[in-house]
Amino acid sequence: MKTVALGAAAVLLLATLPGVANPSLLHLLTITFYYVVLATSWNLLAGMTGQFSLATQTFAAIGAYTTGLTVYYLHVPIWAGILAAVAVSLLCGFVLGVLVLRMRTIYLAIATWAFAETVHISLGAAYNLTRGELGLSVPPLFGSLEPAPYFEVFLILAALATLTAWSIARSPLGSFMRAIKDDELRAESVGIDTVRVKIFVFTLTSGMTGLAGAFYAHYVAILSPNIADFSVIGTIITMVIVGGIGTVAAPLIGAPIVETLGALLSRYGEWDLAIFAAIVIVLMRTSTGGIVEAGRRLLSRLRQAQTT
Amino acid sequence: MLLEVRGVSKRFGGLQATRDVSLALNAGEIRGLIGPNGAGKTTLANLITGIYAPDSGEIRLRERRIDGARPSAIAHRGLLRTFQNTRLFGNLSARENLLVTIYAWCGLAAAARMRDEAERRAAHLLQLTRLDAVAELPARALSGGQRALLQLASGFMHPELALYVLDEPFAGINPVFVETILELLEHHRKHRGVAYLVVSHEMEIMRRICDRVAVMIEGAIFLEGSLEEIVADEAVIDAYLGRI
Repeated sequence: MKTVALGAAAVLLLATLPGVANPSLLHLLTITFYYVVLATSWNLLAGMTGQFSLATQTFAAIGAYTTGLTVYYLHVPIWAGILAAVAVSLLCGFVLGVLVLRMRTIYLAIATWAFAETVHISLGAAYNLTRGELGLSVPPLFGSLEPAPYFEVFLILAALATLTAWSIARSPLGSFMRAIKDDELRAESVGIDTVRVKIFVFTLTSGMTGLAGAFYAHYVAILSPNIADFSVIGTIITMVIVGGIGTVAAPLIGAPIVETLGALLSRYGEWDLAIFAAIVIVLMRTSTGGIVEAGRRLLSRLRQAQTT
Repeated sequence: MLLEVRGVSKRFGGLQATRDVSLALNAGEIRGLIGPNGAGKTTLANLITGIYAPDSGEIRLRERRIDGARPSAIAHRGLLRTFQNTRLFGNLSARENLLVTIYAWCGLAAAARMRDEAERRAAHLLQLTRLDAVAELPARALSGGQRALLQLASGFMHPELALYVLDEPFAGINPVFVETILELLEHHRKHRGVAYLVVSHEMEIMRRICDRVAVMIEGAIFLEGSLEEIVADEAVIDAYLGRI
């Protein structure tokens, strides 16, 4: 309860930010919140359940293009486009979950990577439909592209995603997920229906990502296949690992750090990716638990120092 | 009849792991399963618990077919097992390792309702196994003996446990822990009528606890009887006991 109250207070405090912050900071934070949702989704799937998917960005693209295309061609209202986006992402997540059910570790990574790149390339190749790299024009959610209202929307999305992950982590479902990550055969043997749990997590996280992608489409207004670029999953994984893979707080810590660093490094071209890779390698060698684990260790050391 | 294995065979490539195995167990019975390494004991345990589906034959639990069913479905019906090389959820605490069994049985929808009952059972088992001091530690941080005890205890969390297949539960276990294990087995046999199929090489323990013992040699059940009858059998001595 204390954690929820603290989280709610933080969200309310952040919600007042558009009154004082400049638009470029708001834009940076909006994108950060978008990444918090994506990273939370990947963290639930890979960090907690051990299903190392490389297709999270693809579901954002599926959501984004579903609403973009339905609004563009069918002239449906934006809310209907977003609903369709969630439905299509859930369905695709379910189907992918069923297809990769028996795959583990590297095979799962390869299969989801193949799926991700197929969708990515198709989005560019089907330019008659998607306008490819030229970009599909999508109407902005709030008429203008002024970041303040989008900031609030993505703040809510990030908060909801985090709340979802937090509740799952504390529930028996969370134990099942971590059990599957630790030892799938044993999980089956004690009676956990691993098939159902895995498909559920695939479906849920895909829907969550698709929703974020749909809102993202109505924020960037010009949608290109870049949204499904492979570097996106690299960024997501970096965020989660920096934060502390498998912990609910990981995306909240990792996303702002990586986004800010990316913004600072952006004037040097694509060096940010190289630097992220270096950070990940260092973290994997030293503290696989990321910042959360390092913080915990520091806290327990401080407590020990106090008691002695 | 609690468990009925009838004419079960399983082949892996060129190896006939079990051939035409038949076995029957009553509620509350403790059945030993012995035999030389590679005789097919663990394969039989894997067949009974759904890790493999048999090539032929059938397996029934309380008259209902379970061969070919998934391990989780079989576990749901009250047939659980332990693994020879202790398997636990290493990143879950000892307590969570116990709770998972009960939540898996009752399902997520009923989990909230079962919570107090589950916590109570877990606390009781942690106390019985003297693991209460390490209850909040991740299972991977426990000692070998503690891990084996925890693995065993996790099965007793199942509210409808009927048959517990134990694969080498005493191998490499400190004698102090062995006594605790035996107490646990007897307690649940007496109060809940749990039956056990125990795969073990520990003849002294088998003699103490097993009503009957089955000897497996080269994938087939060679002989069944009390341990006294079995150790008196010349062929068994030749095939197995004589070699020790």
